[in-house]
Amino acid sequence: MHSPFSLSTLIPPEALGSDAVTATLLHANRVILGTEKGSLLVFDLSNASTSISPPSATLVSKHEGFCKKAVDQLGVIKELNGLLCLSGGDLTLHSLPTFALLSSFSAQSRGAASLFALSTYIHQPPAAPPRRSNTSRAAPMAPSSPEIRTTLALACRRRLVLLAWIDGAWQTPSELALPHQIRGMAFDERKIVAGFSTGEYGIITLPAAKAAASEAPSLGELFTPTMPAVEKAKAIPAGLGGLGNVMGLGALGGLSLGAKKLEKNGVVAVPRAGKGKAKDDGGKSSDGATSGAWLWGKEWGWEDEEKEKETKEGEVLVVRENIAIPLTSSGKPRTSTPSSIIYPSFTDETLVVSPYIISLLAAPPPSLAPGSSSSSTSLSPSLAIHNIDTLAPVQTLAVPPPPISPPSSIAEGSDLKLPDPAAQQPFTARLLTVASSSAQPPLLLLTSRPPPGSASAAAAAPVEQTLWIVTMKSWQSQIEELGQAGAWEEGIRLVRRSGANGGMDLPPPLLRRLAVLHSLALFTEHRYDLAIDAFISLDITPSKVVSLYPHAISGKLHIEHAGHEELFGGRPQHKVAAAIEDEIMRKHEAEEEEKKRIEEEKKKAPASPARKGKVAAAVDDDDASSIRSGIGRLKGKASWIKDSSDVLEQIADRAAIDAERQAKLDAKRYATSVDELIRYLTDRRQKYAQALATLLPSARPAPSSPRARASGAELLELPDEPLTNLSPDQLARVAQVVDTALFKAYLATKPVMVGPLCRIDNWCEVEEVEELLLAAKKYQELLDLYNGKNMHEKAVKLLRQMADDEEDPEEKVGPTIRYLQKLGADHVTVIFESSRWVFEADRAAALEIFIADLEEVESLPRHATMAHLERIGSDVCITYLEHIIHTLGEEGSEFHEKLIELYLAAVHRPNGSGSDEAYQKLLDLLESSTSYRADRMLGRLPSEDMHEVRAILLGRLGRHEGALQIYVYQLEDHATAEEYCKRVYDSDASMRPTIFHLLLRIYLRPRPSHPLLFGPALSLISSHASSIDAIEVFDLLPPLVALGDIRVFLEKTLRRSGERVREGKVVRSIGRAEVDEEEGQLVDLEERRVKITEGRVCPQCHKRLGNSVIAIHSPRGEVTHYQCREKFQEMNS
Amino acid sequence: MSSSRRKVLLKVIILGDSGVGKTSLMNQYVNKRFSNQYKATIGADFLTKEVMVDDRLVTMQLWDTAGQERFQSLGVAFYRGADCCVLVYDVNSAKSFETLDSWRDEFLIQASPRDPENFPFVVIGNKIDMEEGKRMVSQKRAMTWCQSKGNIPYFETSAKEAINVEQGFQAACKNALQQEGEADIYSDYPDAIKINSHDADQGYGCAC
Ligand SMILES: Nc1nc2c(ncn2[C@@H]2O[C@H](COP(=O)(O)OP(=O)(O)OP(=O)(O)O)[C@@H](O)[C@H]2O)c(=O)[nH]1
Ligand SMILES: [Mg+2]
Repeated sequence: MHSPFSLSTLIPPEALGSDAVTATLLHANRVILGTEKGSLLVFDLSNASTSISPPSATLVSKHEGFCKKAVDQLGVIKELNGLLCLSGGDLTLHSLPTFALLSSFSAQSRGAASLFALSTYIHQPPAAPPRRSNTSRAAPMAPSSPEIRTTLALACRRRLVLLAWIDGAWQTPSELALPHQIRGMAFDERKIVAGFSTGEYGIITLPAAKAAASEAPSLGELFTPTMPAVEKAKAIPAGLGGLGNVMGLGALGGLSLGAKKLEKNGVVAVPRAGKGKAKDDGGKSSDGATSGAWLWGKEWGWEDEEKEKETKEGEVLVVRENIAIPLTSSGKPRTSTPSSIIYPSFTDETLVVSPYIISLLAAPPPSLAPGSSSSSTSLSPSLAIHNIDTLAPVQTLAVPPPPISPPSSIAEGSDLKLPDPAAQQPFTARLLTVASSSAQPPLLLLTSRPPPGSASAAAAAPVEQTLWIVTMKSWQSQIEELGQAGAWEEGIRLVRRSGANGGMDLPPPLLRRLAVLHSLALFTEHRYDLAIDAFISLDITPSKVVSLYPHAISGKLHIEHAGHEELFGGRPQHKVAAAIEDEIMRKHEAEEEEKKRIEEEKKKAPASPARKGKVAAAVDDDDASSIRSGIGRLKGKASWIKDSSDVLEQIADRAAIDAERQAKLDAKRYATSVDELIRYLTDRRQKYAQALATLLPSARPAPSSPRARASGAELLELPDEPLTNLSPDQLARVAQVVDTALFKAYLATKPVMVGPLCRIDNWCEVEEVEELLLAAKKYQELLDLYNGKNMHEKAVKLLRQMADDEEDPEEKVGPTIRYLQKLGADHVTVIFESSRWVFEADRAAALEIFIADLEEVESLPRHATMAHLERIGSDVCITYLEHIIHTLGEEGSEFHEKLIELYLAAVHRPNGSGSDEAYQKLLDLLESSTSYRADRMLGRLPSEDMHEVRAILLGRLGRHEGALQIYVYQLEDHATAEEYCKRVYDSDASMRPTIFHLLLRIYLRPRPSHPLLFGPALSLISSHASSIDAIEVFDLLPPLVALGDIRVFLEKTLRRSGERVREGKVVRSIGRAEVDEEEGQLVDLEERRVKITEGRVCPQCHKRLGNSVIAIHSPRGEVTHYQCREKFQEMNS
Repeated sequence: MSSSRRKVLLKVIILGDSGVGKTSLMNQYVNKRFSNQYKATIGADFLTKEVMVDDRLVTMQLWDTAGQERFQSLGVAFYRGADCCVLVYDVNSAKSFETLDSWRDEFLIQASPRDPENFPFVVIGNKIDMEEGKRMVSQKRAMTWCQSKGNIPYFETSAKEAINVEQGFQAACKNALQQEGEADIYSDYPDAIKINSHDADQGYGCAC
């Protein structure tokens, strides 16, 4: 419990004098006191609400004889700026600073007034547009006020006079007859709850604001609140238990509700919580947490109370004797328990400063004091403070305070003679009612009156009075105090109920802090959906939210339960931990005690069934523990057959069942909490994606780029701000937190979702999750994850491990091959590296890594691949090169040459079974390919062998003679040689005249060691007669040749030369004809006609042409004198 | 069953690369209209269509989404609470088919369905009216993929020629009904966000 109030001296006895103060009023920093003799004392109050220096009051004025009789009650009508004074049964209204009489209501009260109550409210015509008014008169209410309505209820014996003002204008008063006298009354909007002298209550309903004048106030049926005597009798001891720190005994007998008239039957107004305004303001501020809108919204978990509030009328508090009961303004008590407060002694005065009920309790009668261990202070009056919502006790203050450590406020006025407590001089606190302008200010006044000296006989002697001030700590420090005890929620509830404008007036940082703590409380109360919504609207950084979850989900972010509060702006971890420990200790002790008791009972338990029943009954009676009471009830039925040891067994069974139920509940809660977390995280995913999208591409971090690991503590330091406010680096961290947690949440509750998450772009921290995936045997997912993060080394390592466990040879390498095939040129080192073992495992399959018909595979750099594969083995390299050359059309000479080399090597390999095949392939390649340098290849050739190869290469080099020589000499393959010549003849025009001749020469002029190859030569000349020059053939032919041998040749040659001659003739004739034709045409073209007229002038000499000889110039046909023609041509050329 | 008279609302999300014809399919199905003009969808929008399925009146809320990444910035919060997801690709674009995987994955993550393994999907290969030579994804390839993802129903459609469109959406509707627990279906649905989307020719607004 916290102690929001403190008591200190405000006005010492000297300043007060001996004239008994009978009424007090606090208004606008003025303390106005009315006395028994009818005087008014006015004090100026300073520092009333600051904690910097103690409040003090200085006398401003004194109005002796202000009234003729004792002042009974004071009040203020603010919009009239008038002071109400009830004295001698009449009510008067005075202007405020001057106290000049404005009006008297004696015509209405007729000297019988005993009590008044005031209500001021703003009437807002529904259609009126809302507008701001500068008037500050209606300070506690909303400032915009079309109409201020004040109603004053004046109780005059068995009449109730109702006076009213609208905007300060006096209205016709009305009156209501009553069955009894009113002892206390309070307004709740348009209703007055009145307590009558009979102990009954009645509700007076005033006509609605706009009602016709004919409508009169009416009194409902009288009632007595359902606080039956039974409850009262029982409730006092029970109440004592509940009150805890309230000292003394309140068992006051003789609470009679008979016909006897009550002197007191208080009804205390309870201000309504001011949340309406909160909602209006909520929209204006962009930050709901600091505007305080969160204190009311349904989405912040308040709906239950909210619903209640909507339907509920206002409340009043009826106070009688030692009981205070909140009643609705229609007279119903609360349904919740407790529905009343039972004080240990009579209450003198009660008032409500939301959210507190403050009662001045009379000193308990001395007869009750002896025997009680309580200190002497219990004999003095006290202030009891209760919470208005829960009716739970909050604080008790002795009046006056025990002087053990005088508060600083008293220290300065230390001349004030504090009564010696040892003297046991009884105090009477006489007045508490602060007729202040409203119950809002956290300040009330109180006088206490010790009889002077020790002489009890001197009762008539002048009294010694002190005026005390009860100050309330600021909400801020109250909340802090509660919070330090772990009761943040209680603090928040106080704010909601407080007069501090429903919390609106708290500083924004505090409001936000409370909102954050409240969101945590929602989470702790298992209201996960609301908590998550709250986290989202408060922009709590995701790492904090995640840290609330068990280690399986939060991982390195995990925080002990005791540390959550600190994270959310509450108490430090060690404090919470200590508090929890205390709690456990206490529980443990209680359990121990309980056990002992059962043991004892068991020992005592006799065997006879009759007594067994008693045991059961004993258990039944005991309601100290819920388990036991449950058992007890069970036992009540079955006690006759049960042995007492069964009782214990049953207790154990019960406990087991309870534990099981609890476990089930926990599991369900856990599942819900994770579901909500998933919702939260997917929401955050979108938000961070949007935030990332707003960054410039250059500044935008990428999920796959490596990032140093951040510790949990670092991540928890991320600011609680909208994600768009974060730096790129922070954003990346948030994204990591979100996705990693999402991953773990999925793994914990929806493992099938892990796959999709791993496949799409994600920010999962691989280090955080890879172990988990491995443990869960989710290899494919892990591969996807690695792949997405470009962590291919890890992926292939994993693939290799997986291969070790695989039996099927195809499946052993398949996954790795498929993985590598998709990597592409950027990851070529990984591909090469891991292809090695695949080649070892399955050469043929491994080749597919490099030759599969896939875009990524084709994109691999061919040089590097070739080099790599050559290292693996020439066979694979050959296959690869064949693939790229034949299938992909690679033209690069390096590849062709390498393949040629490899073929050569293969041919030469000893015991090479495939050497023939290789040789053939080599020849094919050499013939078909144009992308190799023949000279180089020639250089690589072994000096012997491979004549075909050499021949081809020589041919490529244009060394046809060499090539032909090989065919003729080494290979003796005349057909090929001839074929060769034909090919050259066809392909190379420059070689046309000589190529056959070359071969013929080899045949007919062989190397010295070779025989003349007459046959092939003859067949050559006969089949290619037309391509060979005859003269040269004759040169080469030996001098003696059988005509028959060369007949074919000769015939062909002769026919051909004849042909040529004829052909030449034909061509010549055609040419002639063409020339003739051209000439004819030329003549035609050159034929010109000119007309010489009388006046035509020679363009050269500018004389008339006349009949002179002329010349006509081509091509434009100018005409000059003949003699001018040369000059003209010169000029124009 | 007596409760069959009650109204059922199904939320169907249509996903796929830009330009595959999501908007066109939806327009064909709901409005029986087709336009050759391409106008990128921005954010997301929905049309509703009432259909009778086994003598139950079902209101389908068809959510068309933006395929273009830059128009997706409006968030994908509406994935939540989906009853079925229609994945669309263009049979003439291999890429649009290959991205189906990530559309599906992204959907599962964002929608977080209760039973992701059995969540009803439907795959639609659109634009089969184009000449045969242009076709890049064979029916077989598509079917194999659908099978590997838990036997997703597959349809080849043309929004232009109104081929098979009805059947595709009908299947989406039936699967969603089958999948959802009866209890969920008949529980009260909150009113859908109202945007003037019932005229397909009007500009699409954002509903997020
Ligand atoms: N030939 C043919 N064209 C189609 C078909 N369906 C759509 N189209 C055309 O394809 C283009 C894109 O269609 P949309 O429906 O706008 O594409 P979308 O998937 O909604 O694209 P986003 O909104 O950017 O995601 C339009 O020009 C359509 O006319 C079809 O079945 N056949
Ligand atoms: Mg579209």
